[in-house]
Amino acid sequence: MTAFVSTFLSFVLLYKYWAIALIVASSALILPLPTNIVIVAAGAFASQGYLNLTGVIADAIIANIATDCIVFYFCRHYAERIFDRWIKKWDGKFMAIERRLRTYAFGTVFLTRIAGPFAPYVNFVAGIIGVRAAVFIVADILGNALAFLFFASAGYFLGNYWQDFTNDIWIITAAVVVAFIAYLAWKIVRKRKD
Amino acid sequence: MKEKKEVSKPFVIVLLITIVFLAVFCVREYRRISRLDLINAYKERFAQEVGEHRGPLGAKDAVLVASWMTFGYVNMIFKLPPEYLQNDLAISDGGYPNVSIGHYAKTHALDQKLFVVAAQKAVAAYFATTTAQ
Repeated sequence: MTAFVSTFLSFVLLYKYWAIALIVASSALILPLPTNIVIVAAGAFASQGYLNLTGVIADAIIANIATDCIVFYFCRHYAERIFDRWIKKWDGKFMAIERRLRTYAFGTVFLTRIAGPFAPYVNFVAGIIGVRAAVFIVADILGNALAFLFFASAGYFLGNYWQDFTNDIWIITAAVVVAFIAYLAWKIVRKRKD
Repeated sequence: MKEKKEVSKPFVIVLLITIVFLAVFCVREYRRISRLDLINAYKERFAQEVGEHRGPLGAKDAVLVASWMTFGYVNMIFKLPPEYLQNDLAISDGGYPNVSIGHYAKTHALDQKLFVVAAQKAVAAYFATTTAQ
């Protein structure tokens, strides 16, 4: 267990649901925190009776959805005015994800909830380009529910020995991220060929 | 406006036949493995493994104690008396048990690794004492 992850685990043991909500919300905002490991650990703590499994899942889902929606709403209404200069400067550089969002808003938002590191960026772009709020919220709820349900349940069933599987959690997360990047790259290459 | 793609009839027929074939195959296989009592055997094994992972911790699990764990959490998962670790490790911190083992060692200028080992030994000793009694 790295010192970085250990700090977050102590934080969860001390402040329970508040800590989970804060870690998940910070991660949804922009910070690259080990959310999946924390949720698996929280699921394991629930199996030991230290936390409640339903509480952990609900807490994480609500914190993540609330943050995603706030970022989306903020970007939809204010980002262009505040970050006008930067948006113009960046224009064209994020075309791949922007084009995907315009064509497949639901699928892109849903998939990036599972491929964690991209979610904050997609929230930002979805708000700026004006993805329909209903589409964003439904995809956000489904994606987050699926991801947190999976990781918290995994921790619950691994129970006392969840620490033996931390490497596997990193591998699963990395595999999802790599698969998502490969899918995007394949789409871009195919588009260029066309 | 998007054009609607027409689905060819032969494709639908082949798809339906495949679905029916797979459904019949699945039902037959399910009946076969039910007769062999394989499902119940796997259910029992799964329940046993889950039960082992979620059962109460004992002396052999003392090695699981880590620096990120709080004393309160260790007390809870090993079902130790609340003051046991405080007395055994001579902890004077007012924050006990809501302080992590690593943080306590750091703030009291103790070697973190050695202190974690001491906590593991204290937990193992508790079970050794209670078993002996």
